[in-house]
Amino acid sequence: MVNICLICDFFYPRLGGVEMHIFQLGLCLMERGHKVIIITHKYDNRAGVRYMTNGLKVYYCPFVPAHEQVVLFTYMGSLALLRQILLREEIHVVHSHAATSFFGGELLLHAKSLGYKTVFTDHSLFAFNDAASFHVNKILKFILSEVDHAVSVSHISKENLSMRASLDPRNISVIPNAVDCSRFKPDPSKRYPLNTVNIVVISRLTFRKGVDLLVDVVPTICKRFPQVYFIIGGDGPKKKIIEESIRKHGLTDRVEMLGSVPGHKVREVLVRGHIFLNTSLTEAFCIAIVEAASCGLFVVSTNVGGVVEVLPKNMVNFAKPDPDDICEKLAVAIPIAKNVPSHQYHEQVAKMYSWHMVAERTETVYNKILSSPYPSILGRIKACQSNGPIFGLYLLILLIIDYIAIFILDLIFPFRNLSKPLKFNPEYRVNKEKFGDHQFKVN
Amino acid sequence: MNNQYITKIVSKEEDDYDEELRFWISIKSTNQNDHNKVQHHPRTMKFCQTHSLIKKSTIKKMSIILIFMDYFKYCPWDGYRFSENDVQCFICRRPKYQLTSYIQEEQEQKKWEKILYEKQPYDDNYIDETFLQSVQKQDNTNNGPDYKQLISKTSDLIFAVNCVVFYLLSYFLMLHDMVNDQLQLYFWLAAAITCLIMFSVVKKMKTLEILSNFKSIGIYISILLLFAPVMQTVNQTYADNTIYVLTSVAILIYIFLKDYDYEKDFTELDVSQWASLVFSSLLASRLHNELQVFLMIFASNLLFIFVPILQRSIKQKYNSVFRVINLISTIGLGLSLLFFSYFLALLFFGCVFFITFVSPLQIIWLYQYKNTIRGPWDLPNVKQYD
Repeated sequence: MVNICLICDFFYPRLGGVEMHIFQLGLCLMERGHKVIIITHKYDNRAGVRYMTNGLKVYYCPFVPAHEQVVLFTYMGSLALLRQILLREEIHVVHSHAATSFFGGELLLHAKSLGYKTVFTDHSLFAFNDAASFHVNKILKFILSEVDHAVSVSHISKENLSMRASLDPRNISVIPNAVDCSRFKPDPSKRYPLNTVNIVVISRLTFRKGVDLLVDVVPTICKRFPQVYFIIGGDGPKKKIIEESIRKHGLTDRVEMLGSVPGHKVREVLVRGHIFLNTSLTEAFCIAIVEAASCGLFVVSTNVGGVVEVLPKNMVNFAKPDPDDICEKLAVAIPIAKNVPSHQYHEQVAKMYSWHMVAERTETVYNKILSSPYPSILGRIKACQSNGPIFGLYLLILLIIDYIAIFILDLIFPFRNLSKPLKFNPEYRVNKEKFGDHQFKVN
Repeated sequence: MNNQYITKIVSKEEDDYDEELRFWISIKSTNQNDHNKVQHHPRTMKFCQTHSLIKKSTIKKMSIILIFMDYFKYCPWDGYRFSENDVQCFICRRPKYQLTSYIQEEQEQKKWEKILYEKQPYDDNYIDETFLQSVQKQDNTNNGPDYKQLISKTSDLIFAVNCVVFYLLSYFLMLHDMVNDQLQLYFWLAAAITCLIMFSVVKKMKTLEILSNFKSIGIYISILLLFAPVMQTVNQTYADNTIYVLTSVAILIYIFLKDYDYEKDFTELDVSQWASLVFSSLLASRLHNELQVFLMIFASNLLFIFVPILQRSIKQKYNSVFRVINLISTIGLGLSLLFFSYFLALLFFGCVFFITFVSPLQIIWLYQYKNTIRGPWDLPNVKQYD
């Protein structure tokens, strides 16, 4: 039984791919018999220790997010609290997610000094030519210089990560994301409106999601195929552009804008369509298309990033990120859209992706690193120096400060004086009625 | 053939040869002491059937001889010589009495594919030879841009520097009352009119447009005249040192952030043009009377906001004329600076020399460190709507 700590800036009540991943991974690892806790920063009105499904313990630490829900990187500000949490819960492995979550990165460094094993999961792709990418990559290189193992969600993401952070590719495992297929069951009777081929688009309407391509594609396809009906869900800075384009071409009766779709209503929207269109310009692993395939829709997508590896050829049509090419591939898909075997797709996807598989593969990663030796302080100093001659010295100073601080904290707050945490009764999972939790199943 | 001695070893081809083998295998596996149970060799039997004159006793003898000859001395595939206790060929690993069999090759492990939807019989951290092959590194082995081309591109920068120096020179003259105010006024008005004429000639404007341009300039001049006293008092309270520092910073901002590619539409003021307004108003606050203030602001607007518009249209058609103007103005400015101080002239010529000849060399030196990495994670070029 391994005691695991998952760290990320992004967690419930914020909803998104990374948050879902962490939550589901935590639950499935708990089902395999491990102990899981999650550490994030506090959200409005949500601070302190909370228990989620099946006793998943979440620490909402009192750090205020500085910009876009990410905590400011102060090297020493979080050491004392983290040390206390990790010691009282008797953690073995610290697992951090998301490259842009600097809270996770900072705690990863401290965990290394405190003597825990560390794992990092990367969820996104970064280019090398942006001004923003230089800095993020440099910081990532610093944070990951001593990580024991890294996990990426697709093969392209693995190549990207190994180049960005200069990691040994043998230390990177590819464990894809998954989808909870029981929540995305197909229902061909819900396809609305009738007598049209419905194309569904659900995404954040930003530049990265290829909204500019969509603006070109919608009028062309509507002109060419009179039986097509678009359903566009989602909100973002580029929403106005689509609305303008619709008004300009007079397509208000053929295109429906739903606005922001809450998480539990996504399936209802997906089930209404025959085809799912994804025009994103870069994706490490697109969970949206897997959800769509699970709901029995045929997928047309751009062949960027890791999207090519996700679904087999009979479920997807790939197009280049060019409006003409997307129109061509849609033209191929529209005639066959009504004959798509939805339930077959659902079963196939259920076999391909499941969170239990992800948890199992992650567990093998943990077992592998737990048997590897702990690095000595000299080894860590050498790893610091590998960041560069000048930056390395600076990091060395930070490392020394870290050790001194831990030493002082050990004197002031020794381990034996720490309060023991409450243990969630594991019997709850097996027998919920005993604790007063009755489950009424209405289909 | 009597089946009680046939063993279970069966080879794949169904030949007469196999029948013979089966016969030999069956014979070898039985107890050799039992000679009575020896079967006749099928070929001898056939031979005898066809040639019925040979006696049965000779048939028996022939078969016995063949048995004890030990048919299998060498492996026919690779020539390995069998020793007495050998059960199989050392090289091809076929059994000694089953030399027609095909070697069953090791079942090939399914090839690794770059997919995520199937669990493959490889570790999660398996590395293929196709790893990192989609990455294109552009190491710029060519020497970078041409030296001469770069030098010709620096003319824009020199022009901007010339404009600034010219402006500062005229400001200096005005500040120390070396030149009559009226002269300056006529000069700048004449300059404005020539610029306008050049603009209309180059753009081939019709009379209506030219007249409307004149009208708008007239309105502009009158507004400036109205605001001149205001501009004088705005920054008067600042100390001299502050003014000089702010001016230098603003001039640097103007030169560094100026739009040398003329991409913008000239409908909105750029950061650099705002900086030019800033330093002109700062300098104007040190002047003595309103006419001078008006002139300086008018001059700065002309030089830094209107001349770039003219410059763009001239550069498109009369590039060499522009270069000649540049050269003449540089030399003229340098010489006129000589009147004031040698140091300034030296500084000016030094700057011009550095910008024209030394900085291209630096760019060419930097090119060896250019390292772009392109891969499937790059954002594709997509036409953006705003």
